[in-house]
Amino acid sequence: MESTKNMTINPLPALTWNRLKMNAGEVELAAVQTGAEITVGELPEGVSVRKYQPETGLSGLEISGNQNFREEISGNSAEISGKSQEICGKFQEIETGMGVEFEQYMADSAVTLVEIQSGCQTGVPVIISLDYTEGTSAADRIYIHAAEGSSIPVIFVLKSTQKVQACLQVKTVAEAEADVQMYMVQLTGEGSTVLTDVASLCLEKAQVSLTKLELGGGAQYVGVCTTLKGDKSAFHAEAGYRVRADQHLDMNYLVRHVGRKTTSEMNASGVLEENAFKLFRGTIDFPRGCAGAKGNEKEDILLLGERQVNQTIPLILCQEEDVEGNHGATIGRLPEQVLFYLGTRGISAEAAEDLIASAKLEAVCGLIPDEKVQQTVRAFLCAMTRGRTCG
Amino acid sequence: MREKSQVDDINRSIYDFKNEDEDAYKLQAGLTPEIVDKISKEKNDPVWMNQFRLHSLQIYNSLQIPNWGPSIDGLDMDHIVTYVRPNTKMSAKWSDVPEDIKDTFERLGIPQAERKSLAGVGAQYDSELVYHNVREEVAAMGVVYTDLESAMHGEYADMIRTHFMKLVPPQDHKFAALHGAVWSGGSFVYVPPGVTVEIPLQSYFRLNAPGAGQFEHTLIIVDEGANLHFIEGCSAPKYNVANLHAGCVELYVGKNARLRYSTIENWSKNMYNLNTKRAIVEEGGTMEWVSGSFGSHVSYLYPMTILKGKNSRMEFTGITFAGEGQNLDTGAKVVHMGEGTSSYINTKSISKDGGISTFRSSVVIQEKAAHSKAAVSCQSLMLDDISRSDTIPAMDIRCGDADVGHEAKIGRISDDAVFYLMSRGISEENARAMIVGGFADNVSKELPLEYAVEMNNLIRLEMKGSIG
Repeated sequence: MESTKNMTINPLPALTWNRLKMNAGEVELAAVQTGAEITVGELPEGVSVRKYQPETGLSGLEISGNQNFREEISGNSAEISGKSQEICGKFQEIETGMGVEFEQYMADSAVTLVEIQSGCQTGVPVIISLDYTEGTSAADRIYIHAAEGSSIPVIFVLKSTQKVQACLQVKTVAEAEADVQMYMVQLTGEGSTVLTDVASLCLEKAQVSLTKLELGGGAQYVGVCTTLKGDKSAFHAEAGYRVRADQHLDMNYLVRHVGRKTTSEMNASGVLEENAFKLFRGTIDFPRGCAGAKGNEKEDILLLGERQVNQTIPLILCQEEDVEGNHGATIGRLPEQVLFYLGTRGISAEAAEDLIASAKLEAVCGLIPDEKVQQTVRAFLCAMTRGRTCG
Repeated sequence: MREKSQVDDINRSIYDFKNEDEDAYKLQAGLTPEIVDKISKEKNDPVWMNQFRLHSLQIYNSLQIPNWGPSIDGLDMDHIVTYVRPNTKMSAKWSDVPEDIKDTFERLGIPQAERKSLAGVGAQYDSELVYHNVREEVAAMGVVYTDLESAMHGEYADMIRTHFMKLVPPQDHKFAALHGAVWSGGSFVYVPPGVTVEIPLQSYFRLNAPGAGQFEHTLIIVDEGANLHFIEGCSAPKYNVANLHAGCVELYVGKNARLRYSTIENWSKNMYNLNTKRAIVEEGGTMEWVSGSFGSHVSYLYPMTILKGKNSRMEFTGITFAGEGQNLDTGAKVVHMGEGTSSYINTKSISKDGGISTFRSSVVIQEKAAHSKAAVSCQSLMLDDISRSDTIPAMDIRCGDADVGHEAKIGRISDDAVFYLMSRGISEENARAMIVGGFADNVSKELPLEYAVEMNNLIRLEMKGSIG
């Protein structure tokens, strides 16, 4: 087996000039060695979690709440029902943002299936922590099936204290009128290579939202793709990032409005420090037939250093007359008048920049429906800025 | 339920007439070193140009066609005649131009425009200039407006050699290389320091021969503190074989100089328009582009500006109207190199009857371009649900002290707006035409009156009979 694999990821749905180097990302990944240590927090009633290894068929392991199940998968022989097999089949057809090559790379990794029963409506989040061990190359897939009319928040926390390679693919099927609110924070150690691929399929009147914070790691790649297949389905994304010196963040957000009267909102807000690299691809696709669809996309970037690379390419693809699509981007430093105002109140330019940068990320962090996770994020940010932004 | 509108195709009768080309001298179709050599001999090229052409051909053969943008599979270079010489020599008098060619340009309104509102006119028919003239008072100010081949052999020979295909090198892309190999015709303009040309110069390009290519080269140098407005127009009759336009425009804007370059492109719908336009702007200089794209089967057109000098600026105002059978990929590019540079790209696009319109742009702010500002605004209007409209804007910001804004909108004509106008006694057809006309207002108000009227007529014709 090859020890490393070069991959093209995050392809732009419509290509542009190759010399801009925005059409796709390139990454070299080590062969998958293991999975993350996954811990699932308390499970609300109506929610079940099980894990299975694809090559052993669909035999899986029932997981109760507050359980770590990294090693326990072997030897398990529980059968997944025919209905679950049918559900699992739905995940195969979901388009991803990271692309085909990453899909193939992940094909043999373990799957954790989260099922939310019909009518289960809870505001209590399912918290899934993924801990990575130093030096490992880990890959995991998490599939979420939200049955008709269900509603649930799910929080993912990716952590490591050292340099790791972490790949995570999350696929969600939101059946009719289901509502899945996802939150994902990436807090891996310095120099880590982290790929997160979040793909969703929304059926009639279903909603999926994703709040995503990219803070840790060295080379970070993010693919997000949502297919709004059902009429009146909706997607909402809030992405926040702070990219430090020599970090590399490559994102590809895509929403396809297939159903009629579908809506999408994608907002990205971030901070780039000296020598950081960030590329944001954001696409709203209105194929023929999505009459009445509306899509909005916005990126707001604060530049803190003198030299950094910020690449932004927001696309609207449209084959339908009766739609409304908007995208906007603002890129720049803090306005002089803001610095002056804060200066008159005794706040230095550096402190003012940290203050505004923290406020941007706090706005995203504050959306996470769990106080402990919020505190973990704040502590990470505090360490990241060497104490300058500690609350 | 809302009634669907039926939008007529554009009436191109004023452009869609053709002359027999049996008297013209044509090279055989295809692209070989021998053909390139023959063109070079026809043009009486100096040695360096002959070598440049052959080198460009080598580059052409080594480059791939783009893997992005509209398909150009229907373009077969083996069936394109790269050089067609009309049976006449260039003249400075309309009376000396052969009747059929003169009639062509008269039907297009070129001599009338020259008398009324232009400082000089160049008219190219197929591969050669057939008429070139500049008003005496403009020439007396030292303004040079001539065909490029004459300039290459005269007192401006060194200037041509220094500037020719330096902004758009043949390595830039496959069709820039093609242009380098087979270019023919086009204009050379030089405006001396401090001279302001009060009324515009115009070049008009007419491609009459079926299955032919037109590869004119426009080179304009506006020296320090000078000011010029240059207008370019182009049209062709429609044939059922592919025609190709791969022109090249190179614009040098000196310190504190200003150049406005306006184009109303109305090629026929069998045309592959693979044109390259580029400007470089020195300190305090201003480049303004006004661009209307109405014709062609396929277009790749993205005028590019390099803001090299401190405080130089650029403004691009464009409209693209894609109808049945058209795939128009248009936009603009800007590179901020100097400190305090600014750019503004403002475009509108309209798609109807299955037409595809793509807005594509790139804004690059380099490391040393501190205090630079860039803004991009693109709006697209879909007139039916069988058309397509895409926006693909790219931004690459490498300087911390930059301010960049971008906004794009896509939508359809508001029913409320149509209803409002109809409630004031305006027919639905006229209401829709008025709204589209208003949508395109940003471009028409930037054009001289005569050209704004022509553009508005094009839009009105396009919208005629729009209610079914």
